[in-house]
This record gives sequence, C-alpha cells and structure tokens, in this order.
Amino acid sequence: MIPTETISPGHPRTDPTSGPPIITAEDLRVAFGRYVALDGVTLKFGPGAHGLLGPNGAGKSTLVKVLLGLVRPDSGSGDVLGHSIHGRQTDLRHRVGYMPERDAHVPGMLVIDYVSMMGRLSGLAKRPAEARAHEVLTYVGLSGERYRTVDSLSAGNRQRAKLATALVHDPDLLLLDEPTNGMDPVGRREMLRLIVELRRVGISMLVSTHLLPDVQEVCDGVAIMAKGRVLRTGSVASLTANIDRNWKLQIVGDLGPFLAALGARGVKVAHDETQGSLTAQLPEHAEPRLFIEAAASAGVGLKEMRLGTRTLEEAFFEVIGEAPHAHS
Amino acid sequence: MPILEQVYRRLDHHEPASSWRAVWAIGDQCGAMALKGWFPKGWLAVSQIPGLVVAVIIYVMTRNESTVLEVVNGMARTGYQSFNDVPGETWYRVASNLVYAMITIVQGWFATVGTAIYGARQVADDLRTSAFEVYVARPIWSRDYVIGKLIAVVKPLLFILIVPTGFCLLAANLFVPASAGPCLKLYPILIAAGIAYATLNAIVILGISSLGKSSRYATITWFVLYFLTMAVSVILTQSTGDSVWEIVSYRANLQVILASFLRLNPFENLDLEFPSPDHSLASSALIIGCLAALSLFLVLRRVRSGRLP
Repeated sequence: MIPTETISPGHPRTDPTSGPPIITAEDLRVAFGRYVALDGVTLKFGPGAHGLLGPNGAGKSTLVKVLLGLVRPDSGSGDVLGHSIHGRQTDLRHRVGYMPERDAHVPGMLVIDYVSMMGRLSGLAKRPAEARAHEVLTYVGLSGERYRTVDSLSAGNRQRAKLATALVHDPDLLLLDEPTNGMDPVGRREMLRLIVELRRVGISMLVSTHLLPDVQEVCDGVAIMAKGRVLRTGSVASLTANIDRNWKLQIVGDLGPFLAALGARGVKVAHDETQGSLTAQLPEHAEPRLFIEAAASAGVGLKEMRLGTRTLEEAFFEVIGEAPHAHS
Repeated sequence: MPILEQVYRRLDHHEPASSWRAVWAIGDQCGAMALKGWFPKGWLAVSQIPGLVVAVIIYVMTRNESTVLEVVNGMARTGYQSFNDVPGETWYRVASNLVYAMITIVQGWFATVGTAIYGARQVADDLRTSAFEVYVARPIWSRDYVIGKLIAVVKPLLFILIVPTGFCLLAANLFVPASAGPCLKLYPILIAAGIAYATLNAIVILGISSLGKSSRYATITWFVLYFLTMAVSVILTQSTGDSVWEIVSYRANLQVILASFLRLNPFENLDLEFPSPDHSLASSALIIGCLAALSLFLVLRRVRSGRLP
C-alpha cells in the first residue's frame, strides 16, 4: 500500500550553508564550442539535500558532470567532499553515487547483475557486491524485478534501478540528475520518499531537476540556475519566506465592497476562487490592522487572516524574471 | 513488500577502490553478455568438434603401431621400426606439429570468427547504447576498462583455441605413452601460445570496435583486415614469386609468432607451409606489435575521450 500523505522531511531542515561545505564551486566556466554551458558558477553547499533548479538548458547537468569530473571546466575550481575536481577523479567517484539523467545500462543485462557489477566496479568483492545488490534492490522496491533485464523495465523502474546502482557502494554524496524523470505520480512520490529516507541516514545529495515541487519536498537548500549562471542560492525556507508581506484572508459577507475597501487603502489583492480566499499584499509601512479596518468599513466579517508564504515556484519565476504562466 | 518498510543500511566500512576487482567485474559480466544468445554459445560448442574428431582419428591410428611410425618417418624423414626407437625430440616435433596445425589452422578459423562474435560488440555497443556512462561514474581507470574488456574476449577464444588442441595432445600422449614425457613441456607452451593468439586478436578487435558505434561495422572491418591482407599477400607472393610478401598477411604473421612459441623449426624435417624463410619472427613481431599498439591507442583514446581517467 502506498501512503498518500504529504512527504515530510525526516528531521528539521538544515541550513545549507552550515557545517563544512561538501560541495564548493568557484567561478566555473564550461563552453562547448561557442555555447557557454556554465558561466562563472560559484556556490557552496553544506551537508544535507540540495536542489539544483533551472529550466532546460540552464547548465544543471553540466554542473553535476563537472562536480563528478566527467566534464573538465575551462576555468574555475571546485571541491567535492574535500576532493578537488581537478584531482584524482577515482578518489572522488569512490565516495559519490551518480544517477545520470539518461538511461545508462548494458542492454540485455539482468538487473541484479547490473547493480552487483556497479558494486564491484566501486571496490566491493564479488560476493559482498551480490549481497549488497539484493539489499539495495529491495530497498528501492525492485526485489521482484531482479531477474529481469534492465531494458525490459518500465521507465519508472529503470529510474529505481539507476538509484540502486548509485547506492550500492554506500556513497557519502548522491548526485541525482532528474531522479523522477519519466515516473508516474505514484512512482515519483515513492522516489521522493526514498530520497528523504536517504538524507535521514546521513547521505548528502544534490538533486538536479526542473521539477520545483520535488526540490521543495525533499531539499534543504537550493541553487537556481538559468543560462549557465547561478542566480540565487539559499535555503528553501528563505526562498519561500513571506518577504512580500502577503496575507491570506477569508471573509464572511459580500466580497465586492471588501475588495473596494482594500483597493482604496492601496492593497493589491488576488482572488483564488477555487480556495475561496484572498491573497492581499500590504503596502509598505502599513500595518495588518488595515485589513480589520477595511472589513469593518465594508460590513463583512474577517473569518481568517494569516501570513501567506510563496511557493518555490513563485520564488523561482521571480528569480529568473519570468511569469509563471510563461513556463506552464 | 511495500518499499516503505525497507530500511537503508549503511555499510560498516568502505572498501577502497580496487582496479583488479573492477577488471574482473568487467571481464565476468561483459564475457557473460558476449556469450548471451544461441549463436555465440553454439559457436563455442561447434568449435570443440574438431578436437573430438582428431582425437578419434589419433585413437584409430595408434591402434596400429606401423601406421603411426609411417607418419613419424614421413614427417621426420627417418626409418624407425618401433616406438622405442623414436627419440624424445622427434616425438616432441611431431606433437608440436600437431599442436601447431590444430591451433593455427583448425581452431584458428573458429577463433577468427569467434573474435568477431565475442569482441566486435564490446566497445561499439557501449558507445551506441550509452552503456559507457555506467563506467565513467565509477572509480576505475581507462586501463581497467580495457583490460576487463580484453578478458571478456580472451576467455571464449582461449576455450576455442586451447581446449580442443590440448585434448588432442592429451589423446596422443595417452595412446602413445612413449611420447608423453617429451611432450610434457608442450602443455604450458600451448597455453602460452593460446593466450598470445587470443590476446592479440582481442586487442585488434577492441581497437576496431572503438572506431565506430556499431558492432556490424566492427565485424566487417575485422574480416576485411583478416581476409584482405591474406588476399593481398597471396597476390603479391604469386605475382613476384617472392614469399617475403607473406608478411602482409595478419594471419601469416600470427602463425610465425606462434611457431616460435612452439619451438618449431620447419626447415628441419617437418613439412610445414609456414613460416616462410623470407621473413623472420622479428619482422612479424614488429608488424603485429605495431598493429596491437595502434589498436590499444585507438581504444584508450576513445575511452579517455569518454572521460575515464
């Protein structure tokens, strides 16, 4: 049975800049011919789960590959788990689990062989690698598919198999490139639960995705990228905080006079007809008492009045400077 | 079982990255994948038939001492009357001739086709299907990948080359006990020759396989290399009347190298068609060595461009 409640993090979210940094990047630049994929990327992440957000072509996958040593930057430097991205790449890859965006498997190979082989490539002996492969496949929910070939799996199960290969050697850091790609809503929810669970047991991770709800549900920190640049970094909480003085209001009575009263006091209002609520933005230097005065003058009752928050999506579009509908 | 009831377990300690474990993992898994399907397995099975047939022929011949002596005297141009008259060196030469003929002529053809079956897909398919990405994220070096792939190709080729040949040699030694002692040293030589033959073929096919993104392309290129060089060699030899042109042939050069392994001297009493007196082990080794070095360069360059350190 698959629970349907909202995913909640297993522990209080950490400040992404606290603790010794596990990922640092300093002025990274990568160009493929005339196309600049990364343009002076600088960021720092501490332990925990971090999201790399951005539209397609933002440079997220390139940054992940640079951090793993798969793409050599033209300039700049970086460290992952204390290993320089310009240093011995095998030392770094030994401690990192990578889940690529693209399907990467040997056609015709059984799932169990595939995962076990990845364990052996990471230093495990044959028998322990096989035992570990069974263990992680059970963990990701693929125990019933162990003896099928990887290419015969559904898209969602292939994602799980990729996660199993990233986990088989028990890495300290997971680099997840679009982990919920191609998954149905149920599969996506399961994948996010696994990620939350992994963070709970102390595995740090960097989740590259264009799906904002994924990041909001599982990550502590986030870096928003567009056109090869990091536009903003910070905790998810700080990005979704109510910095615009938004309030959620619900009234009992006639809406028209109340809207007119708010308008007369310089309040910007958005009406959500499905929720039956109003989102009102206080003018600068105004006090929330203004809503009570407006309700009294309009002859309506104020049923609810609370500080609203922005969704990560709203914050994201604000940062990249585009309206949400442009990307919907 | 619902996945949410599973708990992730962290490992007590982390094994350090190990090149040898990675090499054997690639060798094991890619070798198993190369044998997948009825044709690769069938080819391996069919390749064992000549060994059985020759062993039966040896058994039938050795039932009659004079028949064997007739063969020995014919090859060594001697006139021995019984097995006890034949010196150990002659038994060795006759047996090494048998091994040479089996490994280069009979099993050699099976190995040539087997090289394409088991080797052409190795690097080409990884590149075509993006399977290569599964390796690059792991703590392995490009040399680990190449050696692992070599093992994957060499294993079935060794089975093709060594098992039937060794079986025939064993049969000859069992049915003619007098030959057993002098021929003991042939067993390690046979294994070394088989490894050399299989490894050279494997290196060349991996180099070819890394050139394109299709195993079909690699298969065709392999056969073109093999048969075109043979044909050119024959044409040049026939037209000039100079057998030095056999050096153009990949197969002929391999045979010269293997003959040196088996300590054959075809100009002393043994009636062998190869190697020719006009080119030496050194020149053949140079040519095959250059081809192998070029192939290694090609495959390593391709693998490193895919970001394996």
